[in-house]
Amino acid sequence: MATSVVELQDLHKIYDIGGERVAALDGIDLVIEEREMVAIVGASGSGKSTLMNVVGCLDRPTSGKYLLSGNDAGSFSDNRLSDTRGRYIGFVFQSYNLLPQLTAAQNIELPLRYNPRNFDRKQAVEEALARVGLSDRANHRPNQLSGGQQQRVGIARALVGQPALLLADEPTGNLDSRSTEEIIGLLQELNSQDGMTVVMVTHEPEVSAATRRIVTLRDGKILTDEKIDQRVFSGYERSEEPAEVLR
Amino acid sequence: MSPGMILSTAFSSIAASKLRSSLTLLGVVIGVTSVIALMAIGRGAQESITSRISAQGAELLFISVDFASDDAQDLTYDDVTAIATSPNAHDIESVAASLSAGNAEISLGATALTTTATGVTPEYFEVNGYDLASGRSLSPVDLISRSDVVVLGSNLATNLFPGQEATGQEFSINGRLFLVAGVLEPVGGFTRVDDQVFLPLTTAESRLDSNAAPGDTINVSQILVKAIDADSIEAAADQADVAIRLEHGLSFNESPDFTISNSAGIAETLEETTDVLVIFLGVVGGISLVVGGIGIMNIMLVSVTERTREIGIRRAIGARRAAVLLQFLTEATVLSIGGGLLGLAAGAVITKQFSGVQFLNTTFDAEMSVDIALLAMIVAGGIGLVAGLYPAARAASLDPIEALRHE
Repeated sequence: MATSVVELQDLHKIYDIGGERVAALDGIDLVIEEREMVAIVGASGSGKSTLMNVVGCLDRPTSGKYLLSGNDAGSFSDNRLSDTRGRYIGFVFQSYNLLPQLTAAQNIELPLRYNPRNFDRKQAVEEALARVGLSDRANHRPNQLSGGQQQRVGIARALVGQPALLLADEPTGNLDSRSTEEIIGLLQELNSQDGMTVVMVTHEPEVSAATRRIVTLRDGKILTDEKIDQRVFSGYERSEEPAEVLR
Repeated sequence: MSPGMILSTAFSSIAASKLRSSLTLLGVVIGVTSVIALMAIGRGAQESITSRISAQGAELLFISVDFASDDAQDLTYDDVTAIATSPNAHDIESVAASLSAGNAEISLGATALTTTATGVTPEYFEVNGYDLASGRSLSPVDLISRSDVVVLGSNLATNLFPGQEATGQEFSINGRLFLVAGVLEPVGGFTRVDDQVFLPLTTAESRLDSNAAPGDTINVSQILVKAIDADSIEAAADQADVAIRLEHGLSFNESPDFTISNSAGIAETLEETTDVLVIFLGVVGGISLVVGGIGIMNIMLVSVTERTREIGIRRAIGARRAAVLLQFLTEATVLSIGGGLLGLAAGAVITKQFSGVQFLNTTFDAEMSVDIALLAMIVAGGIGLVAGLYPAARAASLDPIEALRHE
C-alpha cells in the first residue's frame, strides 16, 4: 500500500490570545494521497492558513498527529523541519514572496542553495524557468515582471527542488483572470505530468473547481470533503507513471 | 550553503543598500584609521624621544645634586677633578662638567637675540659626541685664564653670521665682547644644542658672579662621566660614586647627596612615560572603533527589521536558523573587515604623511607596524562579530510564519 503524502489525525492547533484559548484547528482528520490535487476552501478564520502552515512544516500542531509520507513530523527538530521545507515541500504564496534584490534565476536557485542536491543547480534552474515559460526573463528582477510572471517565478522556485508536495496559499489571489488561468493550468500540469501532490488554499470557486477534491473548513473543523469525478475536467488524464515521492 | 555562497549572499545584500552600507563602512574606516594612525604617531614620538636619549650614548653617566637630600653640597669643579684623578677610576674614560649660565643677551651690530649660555669644561664636547665644524674647541688654557671665547651651536652661528665664517668673529654677550673659537656640527634633538652658546666653565662662573676670584670654588650643574664602554657603565658609576663620597666626606653607609643616572635609565623612564601616551592614543582611536561597531549593530538591527519578510521567505524555502544567523553575522563581519581594510589603507597613508616631519628639531618617524595593523584588523573583525551577533540572533529566532506575515 502506498503511503499517504499527508495524514492528519485529530489535529488541534490552539492559540493563546490574551489568556483566551482559540482553537484554529479543532480535530482535523485528513488523508491526502500521492498525486492528488486538493483545494482547501473556507471563510477567513476557518483555519485554512493554519492548516497550510502545519502541513507545510512551518508550524507545529498543539496536539494530534501529522504524518508526512509516513514520518511523524511532530517529532522533527527545527533543523529537520527546515530541511523538510527545503527538500520535500514547495511553497507558492499569494504575494509571490520573491526577494526583490535577486533576479528571477537567483530567486529560483535559492532553495537549492540552502539544500544542495545531487543534481546540477544551474541546469535545474534553467529547466524550472523553461517549465514556467520564462527562460527569456531569467535575469529580470521581480519589479521588472508582471504579477502573473512573478507568480510563475514563484512556482518555478517551488518546483526546482522537485518536491513531493506543492503547497499554494491563494496562488491566484492577486492575479487577473487570464493570469489565474495560466497559473492554475501550470499547477494542474505539475500535478498530472510531474506527479506532484498539490494542495491549494483558495476562496475562488473557479479555482477550486480545477481540482478533483475540495475540502471545506469551518471553525477549524472539516465541514465537507468532496471528491469530484475526474470526468468533470476536460483533458485531464491521470498519469500512470510511478509516483516519485521523497527522493 | 558553501562559504562562497554565504559570502556572495552577504555581498549582494550589502550592495542592495549601497548608501547605508557605505556610511556604516565609514564608521569602521574612521575607527581603524584612527587606531592605526594615532598609535603609529604615538610610537613614532616614543621612538624619536627615546632614540635621541640613547643616541647620547649608553656609556654616559649624569651626576647632579640630589635636591631631595637635606643639606646637600653643591657639585663643584673639585668633584670633577676628584673623579678625573681618582686612582681606581679604571672604567672612566673622561669627565666633563657643565654649568647653566642662564639667558645670554647677544648683540652684534643691529642683531640682538637671546639664547641659552652653558659653561663647560673642554672635555664636554668630546664626552657628548659633538663634533666641531670649524675652528677649535675650548682648551684647558681657556678654562684657567677665563678666556672670553665661545663655541657656537650651528644654528646660532648661521643666524649671527649668515653666509660668513663665524670662527674668528666677535660679538657681545650681556655687553661683554667674546671671540668665536669654533662652531659645532649640527646636533639636532630637543636639547637645542644647535641654538646654544658654550663658554669656558670659569668664564661662565665669573660672568654670573663678578666678585669671584681665581682659585675660588667653581660650582657646576652637572658632571658627565664617560665610561670606557657601555658594559663598564655600572663599574664607572661605582667609581664616580666613591670619588665624590670621598670629596664630600660621606661614608659608604650614608645616603649620597648626589644622583648618578645614565641615558639608558632616562630612556627607560621616558619610554614608560610615552607608553602611557601610546596607550592613551590607542584608546582614543579604539573609542571611535567601538562607535563604528555600534553603527554596525544599529544598521544590522534596522536591516533585520526591514528584512523580516525576507527572513521568513528564506526560512520557508528551507533555510535553517543557523543559515539565517550566519547570513547576518557574515554581513556584519564583511562590513567590519571591509571597513578595517579601507581603514588600514587610510591609516598607512596618514602615517606616511607624518613620517619625516620635523618636530622639536627631530625627524619624526611615524611607524606603521604590523602588530598595530593586525591588532586593528582583529579588533575590527571582532567588533563586527559582536555587533552582528545580537541582530543575527534576533533574525534567526524569528518565527517563520510571523516573519512571512510582516509587511
